[in-house]
Amino acid sequence: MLLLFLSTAYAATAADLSQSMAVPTADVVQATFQGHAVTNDVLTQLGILTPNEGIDFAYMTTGRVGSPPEPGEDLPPMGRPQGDRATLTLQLKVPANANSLAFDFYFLSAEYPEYVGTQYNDEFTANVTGTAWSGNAAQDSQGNNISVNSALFSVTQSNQLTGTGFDKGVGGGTGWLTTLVPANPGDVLTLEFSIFDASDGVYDSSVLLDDFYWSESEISTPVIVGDLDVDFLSPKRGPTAGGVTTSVFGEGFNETCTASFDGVEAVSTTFVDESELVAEVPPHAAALVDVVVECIGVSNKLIGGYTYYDEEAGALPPVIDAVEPYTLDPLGGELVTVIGQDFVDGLQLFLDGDLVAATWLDATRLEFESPAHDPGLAAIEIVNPDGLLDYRDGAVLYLENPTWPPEDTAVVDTQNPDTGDDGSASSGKMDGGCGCGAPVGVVPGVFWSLMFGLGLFWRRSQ
Amino acid sequence: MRASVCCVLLVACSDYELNPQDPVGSDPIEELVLAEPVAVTGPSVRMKRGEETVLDSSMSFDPDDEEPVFEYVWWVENEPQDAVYTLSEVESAAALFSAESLGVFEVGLLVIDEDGLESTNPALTSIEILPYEQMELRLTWDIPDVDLDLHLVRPNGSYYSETDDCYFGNPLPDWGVLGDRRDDPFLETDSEDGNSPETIRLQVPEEGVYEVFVHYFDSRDATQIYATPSLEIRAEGQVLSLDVGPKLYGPGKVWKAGVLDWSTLTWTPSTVLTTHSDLGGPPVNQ
Repeated sequence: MLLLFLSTAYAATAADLSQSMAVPTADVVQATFQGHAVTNDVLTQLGILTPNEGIDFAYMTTGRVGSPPEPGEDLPPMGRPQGDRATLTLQLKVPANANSLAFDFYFLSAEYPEYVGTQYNDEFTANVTGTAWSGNAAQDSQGNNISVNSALFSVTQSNQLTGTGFDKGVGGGTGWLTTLVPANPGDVLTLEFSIFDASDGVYDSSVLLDDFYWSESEISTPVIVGDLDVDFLSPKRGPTAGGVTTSVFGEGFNETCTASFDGVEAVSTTFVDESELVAEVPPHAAALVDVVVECIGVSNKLIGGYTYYDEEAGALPPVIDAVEPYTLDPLGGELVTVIGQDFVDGLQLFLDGDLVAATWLDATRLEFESPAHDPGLAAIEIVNPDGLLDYRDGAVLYLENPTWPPEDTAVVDTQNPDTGDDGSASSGKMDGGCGCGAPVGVVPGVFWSLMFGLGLFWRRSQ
Repeated sequence: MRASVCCVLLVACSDYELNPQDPVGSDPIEELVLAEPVAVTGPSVRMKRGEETVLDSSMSFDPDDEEPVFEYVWWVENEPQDAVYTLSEVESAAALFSAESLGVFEVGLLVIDEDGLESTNPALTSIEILPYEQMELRLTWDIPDVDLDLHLVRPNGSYYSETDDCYFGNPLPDWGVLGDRRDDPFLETDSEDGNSPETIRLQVPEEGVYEVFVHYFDSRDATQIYATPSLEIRAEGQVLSLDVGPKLYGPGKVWKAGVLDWSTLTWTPSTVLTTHSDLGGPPVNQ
């Protein structure tokens, strides 16, 4: 078996291991290592695995560094697991601006696949003792310690492990995982990394530790960041004003996750559980946008995950339903009412293309004084201030002698006889039909009544 | 029926007596001038294609006859090019008009009184034939917790186009007159789990051939993912069609549900299955 193993030191000290993890030296109160010296080292590479940060990482194993993990090496005391344990303990002073700490680990084990689910399953733990939180921070979401039985033990393809000693069917691993642990600013906490055999001392396991840093993220319990997927949002659309509360569904969410919409961070993102976040959608122009969820150390994008639309887009155009009266005097001067829908104050009215002053009454009515117009049909167009319009062909009919009986015309003739340009009676207006220019204002009405009665008598006698 | 004529005759006589300056010996009968009748029709009409309207002549009158009896002549004065229409009862008081072509028609009226005089005034009814209205599509499916999406593509448009396709990503596109909501489709409800219909409404559709697609968008966390869609097409408030589509076997599948010819209200269903990518759809939901 080819084991690609690049070491910068051999039997590293606790301080070396701490430094390789990028733990700030100034924050280390104390660093100790317990276990056989052959079980740890600082590496720059293990097969295809390289540091997540800097040039090296800490390495601890239940066997001997550089030896094949299968069948592995049973370190003294032989036949028992007690000798196959490596523990790095760091006592750390939490900076004043930190609310949590983070580190990456990659667990590898040769127990896979033969001993999955048995008593031989080696484990990795990260025990924390602090005022913010105490316990084993290296557990999957089901509360399992890190072993071949953990849900996080997901790297089993040989080509993903080339040169690590765990390839070619020997074993598998977790992949790099980021762990976030709560911390109180100013606290002195203890972080204890251990890897150990269970039940026996063979079939070794290893852990890579790297990329320690302090974080401002406020969390209440430890989080292991694994794969992150965003599957869908519900609701998946809303108004451009934002403010919608939408659920983001997926996998691998934790308290550090935030959602953003086309690069604009959600007003708030609330962690519900590993598969759901609740986000308050920020404002955005109408568009179909991508949704990104970012958790510490990982992010995932859902293309076209959310739609903004403008509920107020567009307006209703005016509609002309009726015009009263329909027949108009060519001389103009009549009050006309237009009845319809969605009339907006400030509208303009055109009669056969000519602007006519109109009075807006409400959304369904307006009035105007008819202008003079040649006999015939006339179109009415109403244009709302937003430019939307309705055009009604033949909306009114200009007509001489528009009604029967022509009472209004008779009144006009009585009080203000219209002689017209040619001196004749008003053209087409009812004056008895004779066209003889009788001075009707002179002749008493009773006379006309009498004449009409005689006419009827004459007709009946025929 | 000649009462008013008689009255005119008498008035003429009295007029003669009251105006001695009039030429002596003129014959009052010869002075009688019979007035032309006045044809009145309207007001203007707006109606859908295929509807029938009764054209009204009841406001027509004869200045020299209080109770006139007319003969009527109706004709189409103006019409859109190549228009298809029907004008019947053209010699009655109430003609009937209907048209299969959109546009503005003008129907003229002439009345002839008992004296044989014809109206000479303009008398036209403007009739505007409008497209059908109230397009509504309702999509439902048979299993819960999966997300199918309804797409309405306007005439000559393309699937998933930002301007042509009304769907969840473009729920209120501006079609027709810019800024006019009445001719814009709206994805009124975006059902995400099949528990309620997914609905698109369009109040005043332009005429043409629309395409309708059903896209299997997401199976979400459903354990049973094979979904069978049902699509109801409504026009003018009436159900035009109700189709059950083919079974969709998972995300990315698309049912080309059919084409809707809005000028004839003809729905041509289809059972063709395709995929989102084959239709040129962009990456979504991934």
